[in-house]
Amino acid sequence: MMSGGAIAMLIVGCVVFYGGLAWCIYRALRGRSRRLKENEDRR
Amino acid sequence: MAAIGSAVGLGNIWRFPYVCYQNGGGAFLIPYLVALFTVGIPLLIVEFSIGQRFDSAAPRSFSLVNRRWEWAGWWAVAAAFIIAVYYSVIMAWCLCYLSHSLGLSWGADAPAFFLQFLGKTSSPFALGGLNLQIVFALLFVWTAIYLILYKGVKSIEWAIALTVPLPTLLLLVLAVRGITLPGALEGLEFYLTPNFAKLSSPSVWLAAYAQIFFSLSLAQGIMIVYASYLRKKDDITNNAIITALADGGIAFLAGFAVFSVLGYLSHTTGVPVEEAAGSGIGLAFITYPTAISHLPVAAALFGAIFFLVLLTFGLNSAFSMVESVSGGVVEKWGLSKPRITFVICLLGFLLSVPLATGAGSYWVDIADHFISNFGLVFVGLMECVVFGYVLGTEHIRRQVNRTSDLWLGRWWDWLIKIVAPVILVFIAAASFVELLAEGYEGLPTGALMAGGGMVVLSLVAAIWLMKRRAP
Repeated sequence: MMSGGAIAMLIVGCVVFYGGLAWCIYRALRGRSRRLKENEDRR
Repeated sequence: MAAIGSAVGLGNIWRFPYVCYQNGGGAFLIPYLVALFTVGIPLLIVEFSIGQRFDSAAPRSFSLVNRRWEWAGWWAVAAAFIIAVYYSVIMAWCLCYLSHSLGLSWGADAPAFFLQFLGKTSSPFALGGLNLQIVFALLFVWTAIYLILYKGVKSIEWAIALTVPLPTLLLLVLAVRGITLPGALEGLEFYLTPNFAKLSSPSVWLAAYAQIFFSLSLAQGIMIVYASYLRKKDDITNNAIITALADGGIAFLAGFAVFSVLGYLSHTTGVPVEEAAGSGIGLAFITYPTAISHLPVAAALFGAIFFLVLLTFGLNSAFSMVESVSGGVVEKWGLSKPRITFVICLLGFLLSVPLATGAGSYWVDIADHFISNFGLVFVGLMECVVFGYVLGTEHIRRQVNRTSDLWLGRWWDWLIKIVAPVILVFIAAASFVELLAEGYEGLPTGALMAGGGMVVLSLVAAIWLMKRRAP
């Protein structure tokens, strides 16, 4: 069994790296679709 | 994608695990995360915005802020060139291991095979013989870098698009295999358990900051060159955070692949995890082959693919280093880019040949330690000063906020102007004192002085290049 400290570090690492990455990619995609929609509306 | 391609490279798969292992495993992760957020991402935003703003390589970008600071841009370029030289040696080892993996030549004892493969001598000053296999691999590597740059980076965009996800997938397979080996948990425990006592050592902090500089390709002029290809409306903050987190995420994953195997090695040999493989730059060449050997099916094929993609992974970063050098030279003297790229690659090959001797691995370690830990940190410090104070963070922040969803506040100005420089100066000074007192990896004083000499030489070369007049 892994110690509490190791499990905590595992969770922190996963949340920061993979959670953070997923959130940023989501924001980038949302921003892109919003800009596309704005361009369409302008046309 | 190109920036991620440059950032994600051997720095994550080869360097992160060994630096982490050298600095106490779990003790390293906390400084690494702190370094990522206090210097890594803020400075990456600076480099992206400078590249986008000036549309130039590092020396010209520094010169456009103020001509007197051009040398700092050349220092970044000189550091990139030195890194490219020893980086090519690691890639040459990958190429050799690619051929060895077809027959799983490392057998059951990967640590012994690695030492035998290198023909490692007892001291950095005992050169030993020249390993012709590595010399030919070096020739191949530098030729590949030249051809890629000759044809233009644009022509290999498909390769970049492929070489980022594929190694990540293979790394995931190795990590899963490693975790399922007996004793793996012991290795993961060492990797993840925070060791707060180690946090008082300045060298651990310096190693973490240096790893961030190396891995994110910061302070080498690379990201400035890449960002010059960004469109004016591109979201810099989000791009910088995605690049940094993708880079850190792959390094974190590589840690699982390596440390689980270290746990397995410790389990089979009865030696504690911290001594299981001997520390140092060869760690990846011991742990990955061990994990590959234990794959249930097609281990040889998997090994060959793994080292092939590791090589292409390395090529992504290597040609961006050479691009940083050639970009600076071409912009200043208006020389033919293919010709200057050829000269740089030829020079790089000639300088890397001595590293194919039995003492080569010592010198790769020394160059990596000094250039990353001191050279890149000093250049990073110069970037904070020049772009933070001389240009002004307010200008950069306004430029970045115009196109970014995620707004930078005044806190970011403080990070670049105060927090980052203070941290970098303090840990560099404290680590220097620690280096003087304790040395590094038991290496002789002469070798350490030569390492310091490389940093000084890169600075002298930078000043010399600045003083050469443009036509």
